[in-house]
Amino acid sequence: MHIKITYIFIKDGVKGMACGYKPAGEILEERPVLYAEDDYSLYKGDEEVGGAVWLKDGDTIDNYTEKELPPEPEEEPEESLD
Amino acid sequence: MTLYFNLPSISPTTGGGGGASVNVTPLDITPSTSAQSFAPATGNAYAPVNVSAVTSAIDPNITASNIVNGVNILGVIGSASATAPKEVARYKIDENGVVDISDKDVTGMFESINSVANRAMEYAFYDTQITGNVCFLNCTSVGYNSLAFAFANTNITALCFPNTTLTSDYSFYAGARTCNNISVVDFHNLQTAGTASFSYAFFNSTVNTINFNRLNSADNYAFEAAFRESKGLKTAYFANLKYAGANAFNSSFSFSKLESFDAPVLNTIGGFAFLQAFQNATNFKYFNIGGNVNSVVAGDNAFNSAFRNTALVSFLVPIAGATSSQFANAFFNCQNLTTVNLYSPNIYANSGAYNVYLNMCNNCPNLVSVDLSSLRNVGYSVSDNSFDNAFKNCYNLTSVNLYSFEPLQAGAVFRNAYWNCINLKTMEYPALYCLGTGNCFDNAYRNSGIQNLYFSGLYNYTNNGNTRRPFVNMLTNVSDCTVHFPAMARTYLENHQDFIAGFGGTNTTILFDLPNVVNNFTNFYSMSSSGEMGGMTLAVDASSESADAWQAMNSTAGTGWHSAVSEVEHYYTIYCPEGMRLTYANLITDSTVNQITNQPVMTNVCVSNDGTNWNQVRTTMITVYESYKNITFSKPGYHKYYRFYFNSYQNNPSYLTTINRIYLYGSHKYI
Repeated sequence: MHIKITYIFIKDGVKGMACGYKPAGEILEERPVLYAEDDYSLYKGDEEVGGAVWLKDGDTIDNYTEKELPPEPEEEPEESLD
Repeated sequence: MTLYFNLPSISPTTGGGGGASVNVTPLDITPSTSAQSFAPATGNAYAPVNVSAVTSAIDPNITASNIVNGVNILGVIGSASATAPKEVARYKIDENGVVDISDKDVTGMFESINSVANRAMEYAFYDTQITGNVCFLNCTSVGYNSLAFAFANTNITALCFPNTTLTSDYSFYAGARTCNNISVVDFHNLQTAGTASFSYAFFNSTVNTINFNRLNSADNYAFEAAFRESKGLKTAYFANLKYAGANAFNSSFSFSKLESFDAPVLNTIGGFAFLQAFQNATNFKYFNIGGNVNSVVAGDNAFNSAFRNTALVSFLVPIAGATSSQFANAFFNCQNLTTVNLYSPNIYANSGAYNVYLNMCNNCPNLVSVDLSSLRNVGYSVSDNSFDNAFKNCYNLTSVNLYSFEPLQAGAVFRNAYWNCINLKTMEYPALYCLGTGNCFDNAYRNSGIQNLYFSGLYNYTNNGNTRRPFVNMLTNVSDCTVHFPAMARTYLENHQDFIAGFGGTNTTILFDLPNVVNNFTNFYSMSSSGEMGGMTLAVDASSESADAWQAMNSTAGTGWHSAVSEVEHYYTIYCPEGMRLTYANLITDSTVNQITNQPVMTNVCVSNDGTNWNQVRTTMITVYESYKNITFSKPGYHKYYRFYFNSYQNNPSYLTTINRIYLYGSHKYI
């Protein structure tokens, strides 16, 4: 699990979101984002919350665990080249 | 020659004898091919009679070229080659009464055959030593399996059926397979090739010239593997071929030396029609079908692996509709491919199709542009991966046109689509209005060079819950990409986990800076000069060349738009200041209402962005028998003005009709 900062900002009248770096413009909000590694998903208790979650209202990384995703179903084999 | 002597009794002149004297003169005779007669006059005689020798001058045909070499006739030594009489077939009848011609030249043997019955010549000369040109000169019909394997594994030099117009099922199945002396195949009057009629017919042969110039229709499997592994054929030209059935060209030219395939009027091809057709024909460069038509209908798997591992340079075919696996693996590993253009004027959609472009251009390092601007949608099923790896490793790809692509569905439609497209910098999805329920853009742009993405058409956010992952890891290993959305998307999407994770990229910027899109056109029950659509008031105007010109009226009985008694065109204009994108218009005519005369009406639709300069985008004819008319707009774009012209048929003022309602489908923008 990692934490990255996402910024909600306004520049030239346009509202935007910068993920992973601090943009130019007026910063409206700074959001710590907890995100899972590839092939993992975040769980809060027993509830799966997905690959990333915005930590707000006092929420912390300690409230989350990371579990490996189940393997994807096998795809059909490609056509043979004979 | 007979010499005639007419002499009296002669006694030599000796003196005192008292007998008559004879005048004797010599006679020189030149030989002739005609009879000659020489009669001396009475009292005369010929002596001596000298006959010249006969020379070659006696007959002008006595020349060296007419005399066998080495033979001397009248002093002329011949120079002509000695040839024995041509032996068409030396029949040797064995003790069982069997005629053995297995090592003979069969040229001319089949010229008098008018038809070949079902199975009549199946395996007839298979694996024999026969040689020569096989020509069924007068054969007009062949039955099923009639010549299957007939000449396979022989030394024939040609196979010609110049007057056969129709082949039956399997009639030439493997017919000249593995013939290593064959050059020419001639079926120039053939119009229909029956099911599997040429399947494997020339497999692994040396054919270098084919003539199917009048072929109009190739049934299922007609040419399956027909020229597979052939060693001499470079050009395949089907001048009149219009229809190719399912599997018609399945593996037809795979592993061959073919360089070019041209069927300019081919416009309907069945499922699997070109499955592996040219795969591994490493010299194959040029493919043309439908070049002379507006669109080509192609079934499921029509081009699956068709050009895999070939030298194809471009694919320019107007495809009329998407079908399952239609282009799966089509151009896999085409190292020379630069352009793929599937645009047709008939904008198409098939929500039942899946895996349409799976691996389509995987590993095409020189591919630069792809035009899919006619495509509206594909798979509805969760198993749809229509663009999965479609452009993987296309390092030089700079442009992919998905101008008309509308909704996303349940599958991972664009998963890995643009993997390693390091020169693909910008893409827009101007018609994509709905995110769908699947992981639509899962790793779509991984390891690419994408810098700006525009989802400018988005307006349906019903699938925006965090359990939907349309953009999961879309930008894996991508840095500094900016992704643009309409302003109102912020409300629905800024808390979505994929958004706050920057779609898995590094230094991702997400801007909500595009105009909003609203799609809420509804029926026009009441049209007035100020016209309303979906709560938005849009300025409209109607031409008013005459008092009874088009007037918006409500749709109750006895009302509607009437064309006036005038030769002047009438129109109804719709205006939206931020731009409007119509995909369909539906004109309703109520032919029972207030009809004056039932006659057709021509409708043109023009668009403008300034109200002055107009471009026509559609023309259609409404006839009296139609209660409604659909108008579709190919390549729909955003325009400020749409004008619907209703012109009396042939501008005849006696031809009138009534339009009650217009339904408009599309979207419009507002800031």
